Formats: sequence, C-alpha cells, structure tokens
Amino acid sequence: MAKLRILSQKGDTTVEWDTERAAVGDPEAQDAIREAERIFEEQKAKGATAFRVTPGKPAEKVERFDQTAEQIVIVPRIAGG
Amino acid sequence: METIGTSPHWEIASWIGIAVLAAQFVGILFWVLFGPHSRSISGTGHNLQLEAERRAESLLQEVLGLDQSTDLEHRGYLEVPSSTRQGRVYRVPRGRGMVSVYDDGRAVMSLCVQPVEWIPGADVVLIHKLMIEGNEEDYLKTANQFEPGYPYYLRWDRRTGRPA
Repeated sequence: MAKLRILSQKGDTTVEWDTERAAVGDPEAQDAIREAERIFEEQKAKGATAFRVTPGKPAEKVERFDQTAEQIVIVPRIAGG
Repeated sequence: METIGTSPHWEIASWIGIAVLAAQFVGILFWVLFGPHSRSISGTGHNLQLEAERRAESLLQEVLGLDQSTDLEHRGYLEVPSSTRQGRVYRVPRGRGMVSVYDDGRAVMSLCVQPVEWIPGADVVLIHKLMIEGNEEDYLKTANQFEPGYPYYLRWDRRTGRPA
C-alpha cells in the first residue's frame, strides 16, 4: 500500500492506495490515486512541501505527485520565527 | 386623580418587562457557560488535540525507527546530518525551540523556524527532519539565524565554544 500523509492540526490525514491493484485497472484504487493527487496539488498550491519518505533513506523533496512512491509526507509552509 | 406614571397597569407592564429581560439574561448566561460550544472547547476540542498529538507521535516513531526514536527520547534532541555540507549536523529539540547547527562539532548558529499553523510537537520535529534532509537550502533561507546560544537542553562550555 502507498500512502499520502498530510500534516495538519489533526496530526496527519492519510490517503492510501494499492499500487498493484491500480496497475491492473482496479477502479477503487484508481479513485484513491486521483483523490491523493488532487490533495497533493491543493496542498502544494497552499505553499506546502512534499517529501518522499523511504525507511533508512534521507527524505527527498518531490515537486510532482508520484503514485509509485511508498510514502509521501506533505508538510505545511514554514516561516522564520 | 390618577396619573399615567402611577397606573397599576404600567407598573405591571414594567415588572413584566424586567422579568423578561432577567429571563433573557439568565438564558444567555446558561448558554455561554453550558452551551454546546463550551463542551466542544473544554471536552471534544481537548480530545481532538490529544488524538492529534498521539497520531503525530506514532508517525514520528514510524519515520525515525527504533534507534533514532530512542536517541530522541534520551537526548532530548534529534540529530539530523546535513545533506549538502560535510561535517554539519542539526540538533532539533524534542520540544519547541531553536535548532542548533554544528560544523565539525562546533556550534555555529541557532535557527528559529516553525510551521505557519499550529501542529502537534512531534510533527514539528518531523518537519525539521524532512526539510533538512530534502530541502536544506530553502530551510536555511527561511529560518531566522542567530549566534549559537544556550538551548535549554544543552549545557555549554564557554571556554571551548563546544557542548559540555
């Protein structure tokens, strides 16, 4: 299962999809991917930053939604304090 | 001769008016103190925040893994190596506070940077880690930079300029 996690006041909100089922055209999995992509773009437009997070590796910034990523974490905009 | 001001009808009407106003005042007072919004602030709102904190802790532990989570718990800060500068590490405090930057073990500056909206503390730690690893230049540009200070979690040796 792949995950998109959006950090917010609620802790995090997660959208999950099954990449294998999506690859064979499962409509439910494809709907989940479309929803994840919509949220990804919406958050980016608000100034959020997205990272591909893989266990044991440094995080990697991603500019475009990648449905094959194991986990993408979206963090809200930051500012100097 | 009876005047308007002393008419019993006017007196009764006045008392009724006062009673209505008093009843409205008491009603408003009860609504403010015990209305549904007060429950959401003191009860449900508090529970939502606790739930958010729990979720954030869980995500942070998942991303850090056991070793880094244990280090964070014991030291009070998370050490994140720079992805672009050799020998540089960032110490991200467990609680809210400034991030300390070390080049080859020597403190060179403190950074003050935070999310623009409130999010749970564990998520703030995660944001620092992700930004340092994956977007370090923007992170440094955004942060306000200060001379290395004396963060609460760190004892400092003034003579050497290094952590004690």
